[in-house]
Amino acid sequence: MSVISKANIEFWFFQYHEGLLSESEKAQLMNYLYEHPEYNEDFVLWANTKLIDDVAEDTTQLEKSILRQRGFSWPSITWKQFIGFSSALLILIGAVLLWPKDSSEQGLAKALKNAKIKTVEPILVSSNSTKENALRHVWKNLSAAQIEEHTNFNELEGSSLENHSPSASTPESGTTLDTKMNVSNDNSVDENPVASKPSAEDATVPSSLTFSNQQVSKKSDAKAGSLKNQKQKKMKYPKVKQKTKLDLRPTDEFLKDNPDL
Amino acid sequence: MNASEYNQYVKAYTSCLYRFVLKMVRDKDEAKDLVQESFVRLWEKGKGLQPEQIKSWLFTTGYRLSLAHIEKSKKFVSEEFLSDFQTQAIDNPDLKSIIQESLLLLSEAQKSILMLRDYEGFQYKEIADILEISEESVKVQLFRARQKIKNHLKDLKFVL
Repeated sequence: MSVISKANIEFWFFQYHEGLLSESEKAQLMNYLYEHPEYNEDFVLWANTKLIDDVAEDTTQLEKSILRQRGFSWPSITWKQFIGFSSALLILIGAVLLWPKDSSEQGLAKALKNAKIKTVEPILVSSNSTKENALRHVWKNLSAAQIEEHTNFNELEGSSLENHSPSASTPESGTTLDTKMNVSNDNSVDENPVASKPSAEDATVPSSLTFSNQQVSKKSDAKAGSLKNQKQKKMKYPKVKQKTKLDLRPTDEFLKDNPDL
Repeated sequence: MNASEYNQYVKAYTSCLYRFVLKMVRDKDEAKDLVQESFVRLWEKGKGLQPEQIKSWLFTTGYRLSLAHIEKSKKFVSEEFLSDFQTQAIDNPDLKSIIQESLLLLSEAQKSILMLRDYEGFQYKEIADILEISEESVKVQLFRARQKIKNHLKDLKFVL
């Protein structure tokens, strides 16, 4: 440290108040002030150059604002809220994962195309059954999904069923349900009491109907073949009149046999 | 640094950082915004900092943001403002208020060094790191700042 002089006395004052002087240097400065009392006032003024903490403003609100801004209010979240939020999130994820990716007709056609196809014996309908019974058998063999999404009633006219004679009793001439496709589908259950019942793993999903009527058989065969075609994009099912109107008017022969009427 | 530690830093350093920034920008709302921004940056970029580095890091960020804000808003002290301040200081010769308002006489660097030294008790080395200047420069700037304040006090004493 240099010798104290008029040129550097203020730097000595500065260092004294900053605590940068050693004990010997402090003693040296005190001796200088004792010998030069005109610097005492400056020495005191230098002591007052330190800033005084004047900010007494409450920054609690600012702290809360900062914490809110960053979303660190975790302790304020109750366990119930946390569990509820987590449950909702899990349900949402589950719904997304389990949602069918392709529920359209194209998706079902693709699934049928890739499914294992088996041929089973024709389903026989007893000769006493009516047209309604025949349709009921067919209906039972359809899976719920097929009924809802893929049944097309626009093709098979009711008149084709009306041409069928209910008196036919042989398998060749009787009403048959030809289930040519057997798709592995756990959701479908074959409840046909006549045909050989497949195992649960091989529940029958009929894709076509074959009646004694030649026209209907052709259409059914065409449909079975079309399912094998990969380019087929829309499954078509025969249209059936839901309400068959029976002609109850007496025939001319009946009137001749019963003149009383 | 996890959320709990961050919360502790917010509670520990918000007040002093706000005081520092407020002296720089002289606007409470702006100061609060800058303090918030400093803590946001601490969370985003201060993951690898050691606990003993947090305070100086915050003040460094606050100082840079304050300088940028001053530069942007062009809040320079006008001569008119200084004359008003001097009149006010004479009317109210309270040593505390005089010293506080004498900060207006200092440059931004001198004011920052003075506040970091007197308010926060930073060492020269820490101040040098915060302001990104040499330790010797901190010492020289601090000497000049105190000298200005001492001279201002001396002038006011003669006036009174």
